[in-house]
Amino acid sequence: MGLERDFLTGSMFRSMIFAAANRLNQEKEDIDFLNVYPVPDGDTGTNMALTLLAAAQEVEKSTSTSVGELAQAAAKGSLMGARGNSGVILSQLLRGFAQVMQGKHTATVHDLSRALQEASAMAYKAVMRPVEGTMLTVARVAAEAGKQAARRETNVVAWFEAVLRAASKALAETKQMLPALAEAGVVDAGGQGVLTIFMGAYSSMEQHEAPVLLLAAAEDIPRTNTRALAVSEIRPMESIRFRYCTELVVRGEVSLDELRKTLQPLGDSLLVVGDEETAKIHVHTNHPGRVLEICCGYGEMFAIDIDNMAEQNRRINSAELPIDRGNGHMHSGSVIMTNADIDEAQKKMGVVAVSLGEGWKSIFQGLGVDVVLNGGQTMNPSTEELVEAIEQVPAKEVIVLPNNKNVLFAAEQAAKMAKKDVVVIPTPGLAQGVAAATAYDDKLELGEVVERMKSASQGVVSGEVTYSVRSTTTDGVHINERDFIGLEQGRVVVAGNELISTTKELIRRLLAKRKAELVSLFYGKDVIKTAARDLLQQLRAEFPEPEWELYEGGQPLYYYLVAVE
Amino acid sequence: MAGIQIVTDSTADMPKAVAEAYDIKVVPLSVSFGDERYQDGVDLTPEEYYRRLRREPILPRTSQPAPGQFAEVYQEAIANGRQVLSVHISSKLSGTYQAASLAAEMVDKENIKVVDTLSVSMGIGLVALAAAGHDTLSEAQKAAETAKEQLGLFFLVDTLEYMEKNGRIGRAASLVGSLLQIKPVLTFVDGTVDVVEKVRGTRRARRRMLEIFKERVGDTRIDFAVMHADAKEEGMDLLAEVQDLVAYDKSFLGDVGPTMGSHSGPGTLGLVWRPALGSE
Repeated sequence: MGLERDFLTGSMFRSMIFAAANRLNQEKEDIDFLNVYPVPDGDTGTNMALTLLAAAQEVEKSTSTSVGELAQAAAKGSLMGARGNSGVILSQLLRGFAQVMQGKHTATVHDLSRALQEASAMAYKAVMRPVEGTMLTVARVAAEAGKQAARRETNVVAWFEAVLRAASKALAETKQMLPALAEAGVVDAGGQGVLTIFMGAYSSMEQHEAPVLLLAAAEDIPRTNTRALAVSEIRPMESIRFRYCTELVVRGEVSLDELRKTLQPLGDSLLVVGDEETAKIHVHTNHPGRVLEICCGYGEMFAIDIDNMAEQNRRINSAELPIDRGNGHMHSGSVIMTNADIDEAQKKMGVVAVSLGEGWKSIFQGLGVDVVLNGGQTMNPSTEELVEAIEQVPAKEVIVLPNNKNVLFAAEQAAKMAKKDVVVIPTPGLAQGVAAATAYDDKLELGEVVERMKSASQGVVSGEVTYSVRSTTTDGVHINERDFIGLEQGRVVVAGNELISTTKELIRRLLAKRKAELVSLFYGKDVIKTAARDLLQQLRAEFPEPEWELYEGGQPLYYYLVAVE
Repeated sequence: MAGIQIVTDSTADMPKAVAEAYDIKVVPLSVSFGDERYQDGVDLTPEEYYRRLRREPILPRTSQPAPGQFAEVYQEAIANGRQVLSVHISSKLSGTYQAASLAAEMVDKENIKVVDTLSVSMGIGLVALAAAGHDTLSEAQKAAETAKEQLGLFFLVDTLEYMEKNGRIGRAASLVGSLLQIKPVLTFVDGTVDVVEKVRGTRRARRRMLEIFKERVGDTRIDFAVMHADAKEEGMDLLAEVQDLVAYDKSFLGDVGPTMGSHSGPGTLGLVWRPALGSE
């Protein structure tokens, strides 16, 4: 049975702070692990634990029996010991609490309720850009529940139970409120910290364990196993009141409040976030059509995703699908729309590059090229393929890097045929193409980007090492069948029957005429990595002046491609 | 004591002698290696820090000063009858500005003003120096705001790895996935990291940084600082090059301290400037 306690005494408060600090200290690593927002740096639990420890130590120093004075001590200790953002917010919660308690020897549920509200208000004020779905939300919801409970309860223990229950529920909901949390399938770390403090404090109020109800609520909260969470969060079929999880982005003249109000009656789990121009909407409803109709009135819709949650549950329950998201229900495509999704739908410009081999493909993709077309010397892409590639780029302005003289004409044809603003930068080879792609910067205007990319590609001198299929004399160089040949800017300058010496001779020629800062070697699919590394070392020793870089290009036919800049 | 007390934090990387000469109080952030906790610049020097950073597998963590630390410094100044201008690291990167603002609000809102420089390292330092030596709080505040507007800052990192791990990488995030080693010329725009130009090769990046710097500065006389993270020789070379390149009044060479260094990594080189005071 609960104890008849209508007042919180100083000694109760003292034990609450100690118990909370102990509990937080025990669970700090679990909380660190949850840390994904705003930066996954994993120290929220530790920072909060150390901050509360500083508060508890200050309380320990005091001999007072007054709640007001002890709350003051806790506030002071936390203020001096605050670590990290979460610690600062915690110190403000304690500061707000202490302000209301000032001068009070004991506290009633009404005092506590006001103190909790002031704590929450103080914490919100301290944060320049308060974000919902964080520890602020948990504190605020707890304070609101405290206010409600103070109307019907006089017993501080019973009152605190109500606060704890609300905080626990609010924490579970943080998972839906921030995309980063949803993606990781975790609750907010700071919010978990606040709940842990409440639970620790509560455990000291009752001599025995917390009631079953509270423990059950606590178990709903994910700790370290997001996979287990995903399973436990799946609700039984009959409990699904609203069947369709509906998500979309609206761009236009959006009033978030108005949207929220209009959509509210249509379902639950409503989430409307964004700004005046963009709103992200998430709602569980039985009328997805009506949701879309309403949203349509506010602007253009993107990334519409409607999932039947009952169907998902059936499939999950019969283990047909792997469970990989801790989001309560699964979404077929992207789980939660991120800004990247919104950007994707309306990029300003993009790039198509023609390349050879997997290595080059990855290199170009890494530089931000949207579509990489396989082609080059022996398999030039057709105009039609190029047009298709241009159309695939999710942008109105497209830059094309043919990266081969023989592709240039088709690229120019494709540019005329495509229904977009297309600019072809006449890169004669991959070495020039990669320099141009490096200079690509989508925050500039098209004209300026093109100028920069052109100028970057013109600053490159290229070398190529391949072999000859017949005896001949080209560009004044005599070549035997099966000789290795080295080309400078497309003209044969050396030939020999040994790969390494021919490559070195080519590079000597490339470096003799100019002051090089950077030489990049891209080895082809017929060269093994260790051989390429050996060659690089020899070249570095012979030419210590420029910087050397070696990459796997994976191109056929060409043993080495060289870019001198 | 008369005059305005200028306060900053240890992310300003202000050389001790400079802080003393201008009577600027520096509130330290803390740096932890596991359970060992240090005060940036107080019981942890840049040399010790980088030695440990290279040797030990743990990534150090940094933590903003507690509001109470600022409150103590402010209280002392107010008790001495001085007003305070407190100049800090970009609020987009650290909660330091927030902690200082809270302390100001608690101690004396009227007589303590806090500036968010939206910058880092000696970028903060140059703003603090511009604010020093003024007789009234509003003059000091105005000088700081002007310096903040005029501030230029470029930096180069050895690797983007540290910025990525710490999540403070801004627009440079798009370069992390690149297979090619990109050495971007970096800057700060609106308080977060931005890319000025993508370059390949360390030397080319440095050359481009100086070229763009010269384009921006032109013939204006400047004060500047070259900052280095455990790369003194490179820092000294860069200082000499900049001295040859532009007209200047004051130049500083400084260490990128532990707090900033744990975010940008060893080998970082920075160049910070603003028009020389009274030269516009």
